[in-house]
Amino acid sequence: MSKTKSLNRNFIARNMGTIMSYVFLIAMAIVIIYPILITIMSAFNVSNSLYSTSFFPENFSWTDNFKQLFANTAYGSWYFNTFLLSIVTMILSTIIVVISGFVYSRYRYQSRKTALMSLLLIQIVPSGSGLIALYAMASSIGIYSSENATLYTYIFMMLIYTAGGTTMNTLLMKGYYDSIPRDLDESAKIDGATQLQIFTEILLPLVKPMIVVIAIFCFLGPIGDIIMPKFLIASMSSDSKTLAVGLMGLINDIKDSNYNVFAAGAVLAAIPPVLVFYKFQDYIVGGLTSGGVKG
Amino acid sequence: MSKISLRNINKKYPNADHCSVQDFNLDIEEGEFIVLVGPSGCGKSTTLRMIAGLEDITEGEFILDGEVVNNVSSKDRDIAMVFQSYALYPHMSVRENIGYGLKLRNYPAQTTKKQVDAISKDLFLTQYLERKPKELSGGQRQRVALGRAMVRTPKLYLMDEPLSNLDAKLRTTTRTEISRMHRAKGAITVYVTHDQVEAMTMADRIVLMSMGEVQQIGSPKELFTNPKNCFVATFIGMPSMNLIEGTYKDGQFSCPAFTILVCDSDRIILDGAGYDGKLIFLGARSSSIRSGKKYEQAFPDSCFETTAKNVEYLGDSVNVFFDAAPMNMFVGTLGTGEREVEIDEKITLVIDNTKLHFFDSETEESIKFNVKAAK
Repeated sequence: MSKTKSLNRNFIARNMGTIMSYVFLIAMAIVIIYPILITIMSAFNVSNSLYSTSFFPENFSWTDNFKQLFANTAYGSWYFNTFLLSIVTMILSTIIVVISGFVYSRYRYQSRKTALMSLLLIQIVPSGSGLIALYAMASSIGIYSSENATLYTYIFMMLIYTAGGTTMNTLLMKGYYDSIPRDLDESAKIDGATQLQIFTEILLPLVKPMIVVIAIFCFLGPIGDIIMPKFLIASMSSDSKTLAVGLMGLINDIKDSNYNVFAAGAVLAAIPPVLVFYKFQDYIVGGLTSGGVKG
Repeated sequence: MSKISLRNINKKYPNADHCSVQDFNLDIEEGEFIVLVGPSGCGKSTTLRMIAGLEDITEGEFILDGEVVNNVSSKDRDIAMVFQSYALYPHMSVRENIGYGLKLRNYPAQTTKKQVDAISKDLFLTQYLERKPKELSGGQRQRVALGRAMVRTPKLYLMDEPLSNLDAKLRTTTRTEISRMHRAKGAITVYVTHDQVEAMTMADRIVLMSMGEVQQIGSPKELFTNPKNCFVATFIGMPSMNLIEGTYKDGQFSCPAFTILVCDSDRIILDGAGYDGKLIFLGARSSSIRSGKKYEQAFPDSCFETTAKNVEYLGDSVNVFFDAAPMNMFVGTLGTGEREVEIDEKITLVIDNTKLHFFDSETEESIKFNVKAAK
């Protein structure tokens, strides 16, 4: 009897570290998963208040909230606007970052150190602090007075997001390029490859994990952002909003808000990012760990 | 067939105080196997990288087949190089790795395939052709790196310590392999190593470097039997040559540990060069320090008694270490059949005084070198 007891005590003592980390991980998981579950549950609950909602839907319906969403709001336009914005931003920033990371990693030139330093410094300034300047810029180049104000605003935002994404991501990308030995470049050079061939045939295939990670970061950035579109999109038309702005409109007014429709919209909006993460999860883990250590 | 010349090559990195390579001169005839050897940081790899075109040449001329190619990019120099890290492309299979150079030079796919097949058969890589480098062992990767260089027929082959990541046994077999391929190809090979055994076994000529300067250029035999200075003498040969400071007077060399008679031919040289009564360094290879009646009779004037401080058993010979003031340790190699010795045992050792080297105690230059060279 006493023997088993002491064995048990030993087992706990020996595995204290593991037990503690599991307790911590489970707690973290609950903190993260609970809000998501609440959102999903209320998306299928037909009623008009979050406060009255119990965890499990009371008036369950698969479709009601979604039908309302498409009937009463310009959800389709929001969706289209947002993902167009995201995808274009993603493509532009990824192209820029892949090239700039290569240049910072492989070439030595006069202003290299200064440029890298300024990339670091620029990141320190919160992006929100530039909003007024951005608005001033947008209106001074005549975006708001033109006929296609909404389209130009979106192009403007694409450029802003692209520029914003390049600083941090260039550093990440440079770190990843740095982790590829220069011997490979030199070997290819001696094999007879041009600079462009070294870049496209040797380095690009090797930095693919990091390209995927950065593309996803750039893709997600505009989806979650609410401040900039709310500030810059001047049009009153509901069609011209992004998902974040549009959805926020649903719950903005305490009297006239529809939390369950909001939840339905949020669930739908989450599908593309979730799919992307699911598809590329190996790259994301690999790219972040190996790039992070060296960067 | 090609010839290369390096004329007064200097390399100075930006922000460096000293030249990494200083006044490097070398003419390489066609088909030669040149080994650049020296301790780490002596500039041997830098020299190789300048030949490869991976580093700029600060000063001097690199002439390939009569043309100065200082500013020709590596891809147009028609060279092949084996890297210390092998530098295999991780995302390509062995076949693609070996064939990459041919592909870039627009060889037809059929020819490429044929040549890759031939070279991989030669290097026993046939069954690994579709694998990625990370699925290979160190020795196999090394062979892929060799194959990648050998599949082409460039003007010269460059090798940067290709064997240093292999274990001792594999190193010996690959060494033979490289020598064999060099003979088969007949192209100039420049090989960098810090291992004097590799240099001695493979080279037609050795270039021994230290602190960015060439110490001596010559065949392995020349460097071994006629070293130009103390550095060359101690670097070449295993165990390294014993050096001891002492006074030369009236045909005798004496130091605190022993006094020996210098042989007649050396005596003429030393007296002729005016070293009588001066401090000099005596150099003796461990193989010329022996023991036993036979040697005592042959060299009766260069025997001395000492105590063995350490004994290394090597199978067919034994290294005996003993104190010899003012130097710490002196080593002699006793063959089988000579006296067996225990640690702390007294032993009479004999120095074969026909095989001695003498160096100026200030310049550390060999006293005999200039005389021999003049002959």
